[in-house]
Amino acid sequence: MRAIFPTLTTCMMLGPLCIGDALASDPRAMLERMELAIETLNYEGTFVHIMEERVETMHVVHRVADGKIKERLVSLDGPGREIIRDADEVKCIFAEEQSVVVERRKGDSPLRAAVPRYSETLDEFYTFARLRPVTRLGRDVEAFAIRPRDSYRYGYRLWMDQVSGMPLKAQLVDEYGKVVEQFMFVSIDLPDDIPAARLEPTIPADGFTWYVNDERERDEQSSDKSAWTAERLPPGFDLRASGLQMMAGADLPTDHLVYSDGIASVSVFVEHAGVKEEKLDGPSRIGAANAYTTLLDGHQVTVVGEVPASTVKMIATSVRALPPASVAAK
Amino acid sequence: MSNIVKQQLSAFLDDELETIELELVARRLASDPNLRATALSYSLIGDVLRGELSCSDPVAFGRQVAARTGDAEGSPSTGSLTPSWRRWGRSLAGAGMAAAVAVVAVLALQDGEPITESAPTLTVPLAGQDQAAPAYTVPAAYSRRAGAPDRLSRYYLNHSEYALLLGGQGSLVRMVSGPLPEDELDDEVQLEESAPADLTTEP
Repeated sequence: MRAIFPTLTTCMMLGPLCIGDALASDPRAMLERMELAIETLNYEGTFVHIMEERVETMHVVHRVADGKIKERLVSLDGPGREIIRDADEVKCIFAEEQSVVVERRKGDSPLRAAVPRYSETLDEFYTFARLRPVTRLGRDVEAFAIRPRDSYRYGYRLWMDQVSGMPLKAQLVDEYGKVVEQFMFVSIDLPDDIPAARLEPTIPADGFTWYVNDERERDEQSSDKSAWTAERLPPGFDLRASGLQMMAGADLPTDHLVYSDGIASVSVFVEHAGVKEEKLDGPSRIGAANAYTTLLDGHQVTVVGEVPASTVKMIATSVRALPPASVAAK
Repeated sequence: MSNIVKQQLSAFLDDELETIELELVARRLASDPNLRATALSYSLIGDVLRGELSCSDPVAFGRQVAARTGDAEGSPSTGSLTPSWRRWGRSLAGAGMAAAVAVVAVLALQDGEPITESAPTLTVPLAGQDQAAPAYTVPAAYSRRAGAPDRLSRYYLNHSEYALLLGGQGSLVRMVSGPLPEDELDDEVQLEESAPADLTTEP
């Protein structure tokens, strides 16, 4: 959760701040610390999510007990949507659609385990910079920017609580320097304990239609081998996870490949195009995440990621089927 | 907009409000497009004053300002910005003024080096530079379709497990955000975006 907005009057008084080279490496450590804090701390707070002309207020409860994480996220002024996430599943409750989608997790997130929090290879594709420290919500806050060296990926500006390491504000920045999405806590509490009751959903789902992966079917049809590959990727992106899986609400298994440069990640989904659902075609987007869909040999190929539209299109149009021999040899 | 509201917005941007007031302003931002527009222009000016919208190349800087203020004519590409951005730009009562102030501010502060970083000026190849400008569509699941999640929603939910940084938390937030209000859907159905002709990273 993170967000925007400068300190106008302070800036006017002081102007840009010059920070010495000796601190140049700090943003890398801050990045690691922030990633750790957001997963391992207990916190509850209200934040605003700003994207283009939309502003929404949301509430998050994040609890860690006995090493297990559980999180509840609800829109305070949206259409009645709530998400409950833990290590095993993500449950999305859609009040307006009167449906609940349960997507089972794959245990420890393979990417979180596989992707380095920071490695020197990231310096090839991003620059890390400190911004002016500020005070937010009565807390001393360190700020830093992650800027892409090319136009294949987005940049970030992040504001981190010095004491806890929690990100209090963040921006996603496009290739023009325009902030495309922002998160900002307007209140946050970091208690030692959070009662389990705070994680209970507030939207009653009685009578709703539930869409859940069938575990048995999922096990039978799932595989860690994918028959597809993306031939054109931005520099620094490589394959981090792949496999065939059943998704909640789907009739057929879907190939899912995940590529990442260590910060940005992109998912490639391939499934038969001949099912009864409406077909996607060309570019789409959800928030700041772009998607691009194309048809290939009777399959629908969709690439999704928090990267520019041109990047998802480039990857999607380069997806090819692997020769059977190379799939078997995987 | 009253001076009191402006003062409150300024304090909001300056992190000078108490928590209760912060929440009130946040809610007001959610419902008041004019206030959001003002916040955008304040934010832009502040970014420039902080040096975060810095650029030694006036042409490239103009592109950045144009992109951030929804000034299609000044954008680096031939494609137009989103209709909703244009509409917001109109209600801004002059995003161009914000851009002009930003230019003045940046010129005044050009000697200052806001941040340290090792990045050299870098002209980069552009992904898909030779591709035609795409037209965006809002996925069906986010435009009132009830029942089972559609493909894009399924994909997105599964992608969220692998998304880091803003992706990890942000992707679930986007799921909660839900569809655009009905009267904004028409604007969102046919958004145009084109790749920049050339892009130079900040020095």
